Amino acid sequence: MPMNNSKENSSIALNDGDKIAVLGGGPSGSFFSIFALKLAKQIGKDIDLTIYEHKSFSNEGPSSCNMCAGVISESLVQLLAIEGICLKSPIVQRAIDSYRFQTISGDVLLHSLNEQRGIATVYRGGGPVSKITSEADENPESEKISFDDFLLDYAEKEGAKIENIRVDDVKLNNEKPQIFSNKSILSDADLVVGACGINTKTAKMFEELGIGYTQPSVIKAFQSEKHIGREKVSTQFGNTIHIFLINQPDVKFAAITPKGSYVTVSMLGKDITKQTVIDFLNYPVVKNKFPDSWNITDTFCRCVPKINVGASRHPFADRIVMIGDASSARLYKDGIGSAYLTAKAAANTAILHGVSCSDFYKNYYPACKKINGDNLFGNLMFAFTDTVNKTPVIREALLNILRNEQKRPELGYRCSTILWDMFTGNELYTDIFLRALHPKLLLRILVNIIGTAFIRLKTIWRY
Amino acid sequence: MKNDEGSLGKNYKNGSIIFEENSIGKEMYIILSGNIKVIKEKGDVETVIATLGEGDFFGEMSLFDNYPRSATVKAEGNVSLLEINQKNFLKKISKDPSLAFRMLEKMSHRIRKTDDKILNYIVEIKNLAEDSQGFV
Repeated sequence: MPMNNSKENSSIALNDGDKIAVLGGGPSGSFFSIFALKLAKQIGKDIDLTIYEHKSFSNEGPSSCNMCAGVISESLVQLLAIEGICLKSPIVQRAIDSYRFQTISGDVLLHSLNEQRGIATVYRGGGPVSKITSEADENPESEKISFDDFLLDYAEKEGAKIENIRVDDVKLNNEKPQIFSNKSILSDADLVVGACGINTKTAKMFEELGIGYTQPSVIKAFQSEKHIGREKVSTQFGNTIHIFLINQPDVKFAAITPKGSYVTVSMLGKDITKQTVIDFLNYPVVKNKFPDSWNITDTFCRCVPKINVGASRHPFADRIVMIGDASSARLYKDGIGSAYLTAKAAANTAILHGVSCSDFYKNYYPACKKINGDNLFGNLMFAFTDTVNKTPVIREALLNILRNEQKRPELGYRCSTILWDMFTGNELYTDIFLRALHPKLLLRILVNIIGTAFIRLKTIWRY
Repeated sequence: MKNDEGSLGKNYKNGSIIFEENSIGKEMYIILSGNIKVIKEKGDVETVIATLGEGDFFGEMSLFDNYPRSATVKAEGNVSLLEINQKNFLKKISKDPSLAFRMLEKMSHRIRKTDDKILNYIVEIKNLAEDSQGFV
């Protein structure tokens, strides 16, 4: 259990009028506020909740954006709809129904088995910097396009107060946290929620608080937005996210996500630079996806966000809880889904159980542990994908299986759903891993590997 | 719809039947935009028993009781619906039972409304019966 827990196993309940300070107005902060306020209302508890967010999400470019690929999984779209949070245009830039997996041995197109456009692509901020005028005209100022802004508005409607202030210090005073801005005290709080993401000054503040909190380990990702025009996005990319497993040095995988009149190029790997992105865009299989007339411009909206690949340590103490990326997130995928899970678990704990270290340990920490444990299987699955990608015989065998499943539905979609769930973030890695161990699938893979190896040997023998 | 590529789920045109009374269905629907009419048929008479709009859900009863659809549902204008199949829905509820709160809340509202309607009908019938006795 985390340190700084003076009264072990004791509970601290929130009372009417108690103050909650949520530091960060991204999805995790907004989700926490929405669920805490809804639940408090349901049980007749009156809480005073303020979200402190210094950014304005309605401006263009990285400074107003919480920097991610902006893909909301099918599963999360459904969960949010059940919660009453319905996503639609213009917040949804493009509704996705398929994924195309491109390897150097060929590609395969997988469609959603639900036969509907269930995945949403969104802008986290006000859209790419230097957004062309014609596109800006399509979305007048009254129509917000930022997903983060949309959730923040939703939280405000539920009763959250929004303060456009940067909180630059948190201190513990008589076991109650106090928050500061510009060296002046802003407020005492009965609960402080760290929804500040990773590698921010705010997250550092919590590390220095002496509660034992340590931020998760991170790697760098690279996101960039390319303008090709709404019509060209539709004709060239349609409602399909393109995943590239093309063995580019230092790149784990790359993806092109269509959104409105832009596509987002996301790359994950070691030391990815602007040049790595340009090299990627010049690969023939990538270049073919873009219109002939399209050229890579020298300047484009880009950012280098950090994504967590490990778990934080001690993400809670008495009257303090860290959520979203600052706590636990699913490996490489579904960051917004992780924000939803941790925020909801923390909100349920705070309102229904209490805000002591022991309350969070018993009722919130299991949600984090589930994500962290699941990531171990995620690591295994991605290591397997790397091996497949680097081994031509296995890669071709799996492509054959996937193509056959798409052509002949009677075979079932065992392999297709594994790949779909892994890259869409739709299911837990543990479930996917267990499904991948099914004897029928393993046998089919083995038969296809032997078949592919035989064809290769025959070809070599001929020449 | 202004921007069709941003429209999630399935789109239905005005008058399209989403499902028919007594058909078998394993899906529930959430309305992302537009309105739908819930219709009951008795003989040749069609009665609209409810009109639902954005954020409302329908078709959930068959998910819980596995009985055929209790009414026909038609699109009123252009409608976007998010379809959730029974297996996915039950999986989600078993992982997070609090997801059912909002559904229970909405279903409770519907039962209360139905109770009010029934009460109004009973009072109306009683008044009619008393009026007709007075007339006799």
